[in-house]
Amino acid sequence: MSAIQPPAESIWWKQPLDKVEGTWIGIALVWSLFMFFMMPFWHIYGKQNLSNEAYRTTPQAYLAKTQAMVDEYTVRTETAAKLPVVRPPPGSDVYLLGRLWQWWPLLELQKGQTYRLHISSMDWQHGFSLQPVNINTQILPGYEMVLTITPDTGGEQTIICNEYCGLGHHNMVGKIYVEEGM
Amino acid sequence: MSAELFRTCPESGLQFHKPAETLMRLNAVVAVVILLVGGVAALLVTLTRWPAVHLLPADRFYQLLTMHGVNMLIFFIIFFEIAVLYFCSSTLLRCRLATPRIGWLAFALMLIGVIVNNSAVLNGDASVMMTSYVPMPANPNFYLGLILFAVGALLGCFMFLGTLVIAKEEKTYEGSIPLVTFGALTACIIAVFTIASGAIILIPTYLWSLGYINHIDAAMYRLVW
Repeated sequence: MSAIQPPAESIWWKQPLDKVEGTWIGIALVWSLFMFFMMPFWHIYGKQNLSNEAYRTTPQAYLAKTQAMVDEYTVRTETAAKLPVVRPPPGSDVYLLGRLWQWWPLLELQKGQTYRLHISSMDWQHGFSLQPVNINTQILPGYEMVLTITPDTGGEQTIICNEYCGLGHHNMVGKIYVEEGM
Repeated sequence: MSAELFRTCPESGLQFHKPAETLMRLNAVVAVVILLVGGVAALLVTLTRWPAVHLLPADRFYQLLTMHGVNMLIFFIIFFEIAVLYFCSSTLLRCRLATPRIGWLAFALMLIGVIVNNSAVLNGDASVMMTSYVPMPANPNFYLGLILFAVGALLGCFMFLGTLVIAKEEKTYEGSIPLVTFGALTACIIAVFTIASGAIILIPTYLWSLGYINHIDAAMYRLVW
C-alpha cells in the first residue's frame, strides 16, 4: 500500500482498521473534545476571558465622554507630560481610550468595587492587555467595548498594547492603580 | 497524448508531463528563494529582539518583521503549495497538466505580486504586518501586490482541480485517487477559501488606500480577513 499510488483494492474502505491507526484516531478525538469543552469552561470559570458588550461610537463622541470624566475626577497628574490620574466613584462608568501611542488616562480604582470599564480606540486597532493578570481584549475604532470589572488584586496593574499599531507600539503603556482598604 | 511530452524519471520511476515539470520546478525554486528572504529578515528580527545585541531601530524592526511575516506565511507557503498541487495531480495521476499556459500566467502574477508587495515594504511606508489591519494605512502597492498574488494562486488552484477532472475523463488511473492527492485536494479547498476571502477584503482596502473609498469598518476587515 503506497500513498502515492491509487489504492490497490477498489473497495478499500472495507479493510479492517489497524489497531495503531484506531488508537491514534481515538486519542485525536478525545483531545479535540477536551479542547472543545475547555473553551466554554474557561470562559465561565477561568476569570480571564471577560464577557463584554460592544456599542457603536465615533472617536469624537468617545473622546468627549472620556474628557468629561477626566475633568470631573482627576486627582493628580504624573510625569512631565502631566498625565491625569482619574479616580472615578465606585459603580460608575469609567472611560479609557487607546491612541497613538498611549492609554489615556491613568486610572485609580478601589479593590472589591465594581466598575463599568469602557474602552475604545481613537485611531487604529489596539490590543488591551492587563498585566500581570493577563486579561486581553481587542480595541477597535468606532466600537465601544464595555467590561464589568471588580479589581481583586491590589497595587499597580500595567496595560500594554498587544496589537501592532505602528512605530510607537512598544511604548504604548498605561496604568491602573488598585487601592486597598478604602 | 504525444510521447515526447512525457518523461519517466529514472530514479523514482514517476512519469512527468514536461510543461508541468518546468512549472513545478520554477514554483518550488521561487518558494525556497522567498524562504531565504524571509529567513534573513527573521535573523535580523531575532538579533533586534535579543537585548544584548538590539541591532535595529524600531522603524527598521517593524519593516523587517512585516517582510518576514508576509514572505513566510503567504508567499513561501503558497508558492510551494502550487508546486505540490501540480505534482500531486499531473505526476501522481500520470496525466497532462490542464492548461500550462494559464500555469505560466499564474506564476507570472504571483511573482509580480511578490515583487510589488516587497518593494512597497522596502520603500518604508508599508510596515503594517502581514495582517495589515485597517485603518492603519499602507502604501497602496502593498495591497495591490497581495491581490495580484492571490489571483495567480487561485488560477493555480483551479488548474489543479482541472487536472483532476482531465485525469478522471481520460482514465489515467483506476479506482480512487492516491492518499497524497486526496490530501492535496483538501489543502486546495482550504487554500481557495482563505485566498479568496483575503483577496475579497483587500480589494476595497486597496481602493481605500487610493482614496476612492473613505471608510472600511475595522471589525468587518478582521472578520473577512
